[in-house]
Amino acid sequence: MSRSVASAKVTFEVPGELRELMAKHPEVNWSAVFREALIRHARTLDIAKQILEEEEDLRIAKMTDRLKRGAGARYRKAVDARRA
Amino acid sequence: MRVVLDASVAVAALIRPRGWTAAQLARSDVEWYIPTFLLDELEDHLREFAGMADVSPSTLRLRIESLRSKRMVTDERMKPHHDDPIVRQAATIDPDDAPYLAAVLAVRADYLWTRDKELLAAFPTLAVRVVPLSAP
Repeated sequence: MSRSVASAKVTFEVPGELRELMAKHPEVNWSAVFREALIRHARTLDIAKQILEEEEDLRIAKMTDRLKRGAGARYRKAVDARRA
Repeated sequence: MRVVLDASVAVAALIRPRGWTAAQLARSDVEWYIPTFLLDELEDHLREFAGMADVSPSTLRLRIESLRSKRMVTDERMKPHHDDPIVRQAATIDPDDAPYLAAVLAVRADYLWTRDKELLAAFPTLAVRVVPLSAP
């Protein structure tokens, strides 16, 4: 399900030095450059938040530990059986 | 690109089927591999794991089935790699980590996807917390 959100205009303050540098390159669509950088950064933050939520989920931690131990024992049993 | 999942990733997908990890497993640019012993362990102790996941056994079974749609790494395929130095190195960290490295070698995987901090630190080029996008 997708949700349509209207575009919004956002104003940024940049250092004078940067503004001068940008002015030297009028061929660049600076608005698009900012937009792409913001999208990338916002998505990275969103992913990090989602990963953190999963990592802090105690159910996941507890079940991972139990599964890892059980599967590890199963694996070692198979290895030992082949070596015997 | 081939990627082996460890227990931490499989569990995250099972407990949060609409979460980020589960969504990643739908990526078509990756061949996902799961050691069969992981899923066998889950199914042999279905009720116990369902209790931990806070879902009914039938719900957990359905979720496990969706993981079975990925590529399986059987014990037989891992067998030639039991004594590989990289597998032994993993075993010195934690004997329960060794099979994932054997699985990586068995399928010549590019990455091991894990949340295990020790594996991430010990194998920094192989073990990843986030699977990178495939090169176009």
